Amino acid sequence: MNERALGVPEEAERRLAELKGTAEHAGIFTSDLSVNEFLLVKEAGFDPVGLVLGSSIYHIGLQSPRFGQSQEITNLSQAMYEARELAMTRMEAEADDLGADGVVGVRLDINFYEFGQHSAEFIAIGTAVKGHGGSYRNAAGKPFTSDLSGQDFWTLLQSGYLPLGLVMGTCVYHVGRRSVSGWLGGLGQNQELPNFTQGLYQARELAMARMQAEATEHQAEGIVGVQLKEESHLWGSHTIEFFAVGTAVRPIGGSTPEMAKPALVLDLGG
Amino acid sequence: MPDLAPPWGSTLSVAELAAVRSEGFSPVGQVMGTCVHQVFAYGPNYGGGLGMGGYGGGLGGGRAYGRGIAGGLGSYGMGGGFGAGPLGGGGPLGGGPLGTGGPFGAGAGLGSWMTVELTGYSEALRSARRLALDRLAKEAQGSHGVVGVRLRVRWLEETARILEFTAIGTAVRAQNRDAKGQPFLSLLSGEEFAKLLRGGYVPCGVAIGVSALWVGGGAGVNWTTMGPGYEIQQYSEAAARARSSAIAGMHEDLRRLGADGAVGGNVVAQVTHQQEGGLPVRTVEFSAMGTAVMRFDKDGPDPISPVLGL
Amino acid sequence: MLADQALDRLQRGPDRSAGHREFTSDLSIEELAAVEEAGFEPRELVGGTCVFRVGWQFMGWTEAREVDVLSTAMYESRERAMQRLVSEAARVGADGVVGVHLDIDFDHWGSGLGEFTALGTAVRHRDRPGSMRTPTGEIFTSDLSGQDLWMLLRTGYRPLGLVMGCCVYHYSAQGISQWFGNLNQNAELPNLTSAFYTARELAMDRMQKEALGLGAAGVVGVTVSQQSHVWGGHTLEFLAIGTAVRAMETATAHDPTRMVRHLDA
Repeated sequence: MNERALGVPEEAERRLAELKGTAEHAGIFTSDLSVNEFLLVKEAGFDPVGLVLGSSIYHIGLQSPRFGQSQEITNLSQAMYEARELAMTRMEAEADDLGADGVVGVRLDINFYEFGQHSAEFIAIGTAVKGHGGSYRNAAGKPFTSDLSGQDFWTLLQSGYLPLGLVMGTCVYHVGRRSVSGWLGGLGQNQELPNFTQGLYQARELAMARMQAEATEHQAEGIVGVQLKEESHLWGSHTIEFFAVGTAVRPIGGSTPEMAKPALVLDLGG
Repeated sequence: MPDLAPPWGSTLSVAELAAVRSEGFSPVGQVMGTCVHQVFAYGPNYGGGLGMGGYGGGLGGGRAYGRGIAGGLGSYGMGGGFGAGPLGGGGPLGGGPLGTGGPFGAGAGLGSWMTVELTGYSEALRSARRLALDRLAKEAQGSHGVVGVRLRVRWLEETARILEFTAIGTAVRAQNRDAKGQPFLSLLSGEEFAKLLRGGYVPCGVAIGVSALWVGGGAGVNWTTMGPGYEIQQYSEAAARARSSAIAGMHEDLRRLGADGAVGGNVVAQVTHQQEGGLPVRTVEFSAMGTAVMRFDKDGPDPISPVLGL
Repeated sequence: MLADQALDRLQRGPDRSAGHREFTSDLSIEELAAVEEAGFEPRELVGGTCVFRVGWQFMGWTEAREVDVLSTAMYESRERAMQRLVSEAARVGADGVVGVHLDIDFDHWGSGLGEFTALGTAVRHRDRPGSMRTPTGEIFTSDLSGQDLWMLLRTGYRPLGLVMGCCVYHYSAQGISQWFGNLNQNAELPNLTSAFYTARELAMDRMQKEALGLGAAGVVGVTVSQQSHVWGGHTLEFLAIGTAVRAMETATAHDPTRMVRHLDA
């Protein structure tokens, strides 16, 4: 991957080169794994290679919603998706540079500084890892990504599965004022608000469907660790982003091996 | 003296109760000790000012360092201990200009500095705590020890410089055994107490150290100037000295108790500042507290084996 | 019964014959057990402080760039606090310091003053004191807990030192609006993106260089964060901090991790 063209700065290339090792010194690894995760990732047959990072400061164009309507604000959905994609792509490029098989423990963050309410920094950061023998990259020949912790990564492999990539879908939804004033008419009555319910239901479905579409592209067998987050960010309570994220997986070697049974314990200690 | 007959009150949670019972102890009742003390931190006559008392926060507030365990912010508990002895001997530093500043900035000509140990003040803060704990121990006579001790410090009347020190905890006793001598005190929760015993240690008291320093100076410093940053070495040293002294105080208690060491140490500091004769004056107070322990099991703790819970 | 053994010991009273010095620590009970299991004994609660004057004037830049004097000041102050912690540990013959907390405070001493405080527990190897210092004979430092230390050694690695890199960046308010361009478009802001991305990479790279300087094989437990502290929202310190480690020459074999299912949860 051509990192500079993708927006990875020169400073990153220097850092990654240093990680890989030069004539003067052997390579070094960096990781944001805790010690427990470090042990488990190694037990799973992978070595941490280096911290990889991608970021983008993105301005989200305004699309004035028509106040009466409850609808998706497609402009915002696209922006949120695009910004995260930029960050993820750069992080993957860094992992590729290191010759890694994948990235574990990916953390996706959004930071709002004093840019005003329409711009934010989107970050993707995780630990790139390399496996002992075998090929672990995904179908596109790129390093896999996953937000699984070291513990979950180890457990996933024990279950006979490999991560393919972090998959995500987003839908920014605006709840129209007409819907709100529609409530006022029915004040004092116990009742469902069908339009409102319908809208939110649809928004969630859209986010999940988009995430699933990404998994299909990866030729995944399934998705694990799905989280559905709902956030208004800085848009006020009438606008909510529904964000679905999970890790697409495939069976190792095509068939699911016998998994060791866990022992049962009763923990009497504190 | 409270009536330690059943039904017993306690500060124990259910998990703590189970832990304490699993090691053969039972709660006896809640115990408390209080001390009300007036405190004054007199600085030296400095810069023409009156040098009156009223400085110092008495550690009724304060910043917890490190882990800041269990209410380290002065309202409960404290801890920590260091004890390698105060840096560079005690006693006030003389006046006179001290040029300093670190290699990363200027900051020369800082005017005359003076650092004075406020021994009377810190002794008062320490003995007041000790008194509250001694009274708690007295209430617990007849039991083997007290767990979950919490020590709270707060102003009863700030303008009159009156502090209230309150210690509470839960007295426990072992079955089929008379309680002889002083009950042990510990800042440990019920679960920590059980784990400590499993680890081959028994609590034998609370170790406390308090130290306060008065620092005046910096006449030549232009506090409003913006420029490259530099260290104020006098303040760094005062903090180090106060912390070191507080920890030395803990060591005194450990030696008196014949303890092998202190666990769960906590360090809390408070800095108060005033102007005196137009010159900045700061009082640096440090408090360190922890649970003193004795080793009793030569075989050492149960071996650890890591598991991953699903 | 454990209670009896414990109370017998208390009743025996102080053991004045033992010449060893009493220890102090901020270790929790679990950590004490782990540290001892790892072959160490606690020695002393140690610390280091650096109180410094923070001074910087915004010079009316129209772009985003590093504020070198602040990066240096923040780095220097932390370093001094850590060095003093190590000096205190050296005085008690420690091999290293565990559970180091490096805190920053800007209120305590009054306006315009910041304070870095490092606090941790100095430990010594019980059977072979000095054997767990770094290959160059330095005292190791780490923000790892007692349990983490035990786990790290079990994995075949030993701690070398806490490593950190920081980079203070300022972006101007005036500069931002001229980047917005067409306000109705979704667009990345390339100059700001590059600036922030670079700032983080710089912090990570400086941390990495420290680790290389120690002869480390790698760095674990890295946190990468950003904070404005007292400088107002347009100035951010990017900080990368972690524990540098080195593979041990002789790693002891151990059983692989077992999975368990808790019945009590």
